[in-house]
Amino acid sequence: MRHRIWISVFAVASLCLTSAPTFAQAGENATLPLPPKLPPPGDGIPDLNGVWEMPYTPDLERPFGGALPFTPLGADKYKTHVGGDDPHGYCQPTGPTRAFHSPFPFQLVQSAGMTVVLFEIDHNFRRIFTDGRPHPKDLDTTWYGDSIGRYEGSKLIVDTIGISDRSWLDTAGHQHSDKLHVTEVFEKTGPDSFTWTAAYDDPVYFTKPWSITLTAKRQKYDIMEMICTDNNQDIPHYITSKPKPQ
Amino acid sequence: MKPSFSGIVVLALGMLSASIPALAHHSFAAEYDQKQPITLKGVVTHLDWMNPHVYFYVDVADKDGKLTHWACEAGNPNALARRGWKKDSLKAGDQITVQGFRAKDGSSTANARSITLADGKQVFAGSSDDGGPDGGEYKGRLN
Repeated sequence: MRHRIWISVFAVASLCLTSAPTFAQAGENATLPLPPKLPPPGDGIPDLNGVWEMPYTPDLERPFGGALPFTPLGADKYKTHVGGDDPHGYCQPTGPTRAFHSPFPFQLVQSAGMTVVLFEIDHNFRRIFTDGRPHPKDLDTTWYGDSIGRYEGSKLIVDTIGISDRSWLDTAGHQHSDKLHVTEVFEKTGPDSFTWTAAYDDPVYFTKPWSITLTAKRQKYDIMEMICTDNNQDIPHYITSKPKPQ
Repeated sequence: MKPSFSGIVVLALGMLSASIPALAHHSFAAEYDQKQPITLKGVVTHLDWMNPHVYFYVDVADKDGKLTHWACEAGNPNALARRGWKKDSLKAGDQITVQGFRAKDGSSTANARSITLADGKQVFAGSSDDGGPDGGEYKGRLN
């Protein structure tokens, strides 16, 4: 019996060792923070630390002020969308920007080389690297994409690519392709406010880049836990156009 | 507990004076029918104070006393808590009137837009902006 156990241990150890190169390869694009290259907040860069909330904006056409500049494909996708297909209705992630204008606050945690966004919605986060690194090569798409940022005066400018086309831009059903390139500008406008401008550039869905601006206000309350899958009883009742995500 | 109210379903359009905090994680139209407003009078059996939405359950009796168990969706518990509501603001045994809208799938499920206790006090009230019928300028933007 003991002999069999040792054979099993050996087998598992061998599997781990043979798998190691795979992990090492994945690690080449890993984004562990590099040593700080920028001064801390307050020393020449805007202090964005704190809990903030933007006005709930379920339809990006509101702040944009009209219909988005759709390509024929983009227009058709929006016209024919079915609300029950919204990935977030199944507690799938919001993507990098929708969480900002959801009806939930978020916390910004700034360090010299990285700003972390702690979203209350879905108890999720984004990392924005400000240590000078470029986007990884051969970037696979992910729900939140890859974000790098730089400081210019009172602004933090964030560049995000590699965003999976599975996410929706808003609750109203505006969608995008994996060619979406988002540029966000966080500009401090006072001790308790900043403007957030998000520019969306997606040649598959839109004929030209377009942008919206919302104002984030500092909140006195803390972010809370929000586990979307806790009690998502809506799923059986959604009216959908395709099989529901599992 | 046997409900002391008779259950009634009113299929008539009406203005709702107060509403429930936003449905953030799905649009109103994904699940509910704004052409099917509904009024439920009955007794709360239990409440789930959980994300992404509070659900509470109401036994509603018809004129013959036959009970139907309704599931009602309310707002998000975090948003409700920030407005001062607590999980025991609505509890089992409360006699309530719910105004809302039925699910499109015909099940005994409704989106609650206002909840009124027997003494007339409203609970879980707040603003709504989810594309539902009383959702401000977002009204009717979906589908």
